[in-house]
Amino acid sequence: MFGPKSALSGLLSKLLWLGALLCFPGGVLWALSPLGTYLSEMKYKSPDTFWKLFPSTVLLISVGLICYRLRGVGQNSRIGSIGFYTALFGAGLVTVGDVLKFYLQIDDTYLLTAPGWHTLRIGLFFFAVGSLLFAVGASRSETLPRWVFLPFVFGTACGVLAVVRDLGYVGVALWVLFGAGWAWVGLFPVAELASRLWSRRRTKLEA
Amino acid sequence: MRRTPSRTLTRREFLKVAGAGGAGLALAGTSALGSGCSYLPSGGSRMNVIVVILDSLRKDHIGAYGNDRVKTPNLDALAKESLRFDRAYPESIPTIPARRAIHTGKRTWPFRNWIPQKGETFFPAGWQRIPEDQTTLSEILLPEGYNNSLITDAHHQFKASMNFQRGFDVFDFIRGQERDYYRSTLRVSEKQVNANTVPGNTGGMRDKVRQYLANTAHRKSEDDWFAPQVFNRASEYLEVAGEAQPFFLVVDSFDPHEPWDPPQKYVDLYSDTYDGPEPIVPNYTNADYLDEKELERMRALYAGEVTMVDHWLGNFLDKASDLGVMDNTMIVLLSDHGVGLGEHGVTGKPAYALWPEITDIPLMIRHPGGKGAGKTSDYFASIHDIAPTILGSLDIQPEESMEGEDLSVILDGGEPAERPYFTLGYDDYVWARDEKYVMFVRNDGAEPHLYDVEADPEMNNDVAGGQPDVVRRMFDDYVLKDAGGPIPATWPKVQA
Repeated sequence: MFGPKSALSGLLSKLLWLGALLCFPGGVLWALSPLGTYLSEMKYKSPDTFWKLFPSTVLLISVGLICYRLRGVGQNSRIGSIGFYTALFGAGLVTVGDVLKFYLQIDDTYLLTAPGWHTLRIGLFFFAVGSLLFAVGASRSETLPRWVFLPFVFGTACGVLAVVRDLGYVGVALWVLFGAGWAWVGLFPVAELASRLWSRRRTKLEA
Repeated sequence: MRRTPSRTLTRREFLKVAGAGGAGLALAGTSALGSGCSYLPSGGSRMNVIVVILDSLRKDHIGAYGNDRVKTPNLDALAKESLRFDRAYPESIPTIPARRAIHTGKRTWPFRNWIPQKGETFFPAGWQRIPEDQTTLSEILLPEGYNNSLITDAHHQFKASMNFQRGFDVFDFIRGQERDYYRSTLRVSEKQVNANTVPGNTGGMRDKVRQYLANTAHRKSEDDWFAPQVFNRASEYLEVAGEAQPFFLVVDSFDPHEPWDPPQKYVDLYSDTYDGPEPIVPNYTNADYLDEKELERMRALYAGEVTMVDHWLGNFLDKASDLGVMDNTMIVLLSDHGVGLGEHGVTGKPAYALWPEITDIPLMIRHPGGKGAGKTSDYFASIHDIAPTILGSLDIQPEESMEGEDLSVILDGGEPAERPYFTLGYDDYVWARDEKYVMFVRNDGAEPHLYDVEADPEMNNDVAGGQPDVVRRMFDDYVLKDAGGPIPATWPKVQA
């Protein structure tokens, strides 16, 4: 009755579930990054040590984003699709920019053009805008419940504002809310699982 | 396509827990607020910085500032690519107090807590080390990853304990300028001294020349003069600096400070008939010890010295251009003060002679992105603005605030904090100016001079006697206000 194809499908579904969960640690790490730069300043007299680790945050969120997408979130929305690809493009730029600036230190050669830093900043912009579009797409296609996508849209909108320019204290708060938005979305698979377990238990009890 | 709304989930509970988590995250994240660190990666504002200090360079001896006699083609070319300040003044004079202000971004005047340095022979107020509790620009740039170098022949800085080496990876001190005790004077004859002084020169100035002749006896070619040595060493540094970017380089040339003995080809540009003893040093007094020919010769020697400095500055800038350094480098060029050449009846820089030839300095800032190029500013800019301007351009916030203004905002079309007047101090004299008047006076208010610089920009007509109320207002409202109260007594009074 359950062939290898079905088993593979089940495994894939579980993997996608787990992958989508990665938005949670990614979002939390993002939200904590102002604290990370502070600690890096304190310990190493430079925020660069923290920024070397930053791509892991973006990659965690990206993996979660891909898994969400494969699970169907935002797929039937044009805005959602554009957002998905834009966010992935941004994540790629963030990673490339981070490597150029903090690992290869190419900006120390090309001081004024600062290709690493510019790539990183542009990547952050695309990532935030893509996230916002993805969130809007998910809401329009109703592939996420309202209690999930509303905070998500709000958080990603805050992120767009935060990365456009350095807004000081306000920017820190907006940046944190962007991470919190992604963390919020990352909790959704847990809620979904809890809901299923609860439904099964209730069905059993009713039987 | 799956639709996954879980309407049966305890939404409220979930919202509560997640909301609390989000708030916690926000709190944790914003705890970094107190540190003042940015949440975005910094960058894009880094560039190399070169500060060129030309000691005793008079503003009115530069073509870009209106001079048509003295040849300064390289300074003029740099000015064309720079934001030029037309009303720049040192906050304090002379060499050491001025450099303290340049390196720390803090005012040196009114010379509080000043005590004479042991081993010194020159005692104007404020002539002492950078205080231990003040942070220098180079010390701020060092942890930012800058490679810092100071190349200078301004020997007063590298006397032990003066503290100007602080924060520099390299301090290249070129020995022998002026009165630097570098070589024994035992082999310098009186005849040599006589040939390079005029009969009216003081004993102190004769001693200065004697030491200088001892220090420079080895000269063979123009490369052995001091300005060439300083700029050649700076050029050599540029050849390796590309591997150490970003770098902060201070090229501090004591020339065109006296003694003025440039190679003959520079003197010949401005004088050709003189056959007397060379007046290569000025007394810091009234000029009546010189006759007209000697004074003219002194002016020619100074002009020649300026052109020599300009030539070697040009070589340095050409090198920077050839190496591509100019594309990534901000250049700040300034002087610390001028020098009297008989205008207003004085030579040298006696503290009581705060006329334009001593107080007016060139200041230009060349941004590699061309910001402000060819523009001028009439802001009352000063030497203690240099450090905050550099830090502002690099988007670096110093931990302790500086007293100067960040002039880089002008490069971006903005305006720094309003400065309706400015004050400067030199030993026991103080100077103040606003839009209409320049006033200088002894610290105790005696010997006032007042000039209406709108009507009399060269300050030839002293109107202090007729307008004591203006003198009083400028002393009370400008001088005492900036000094934060009565001006501290200078050393002889402290001793008394």
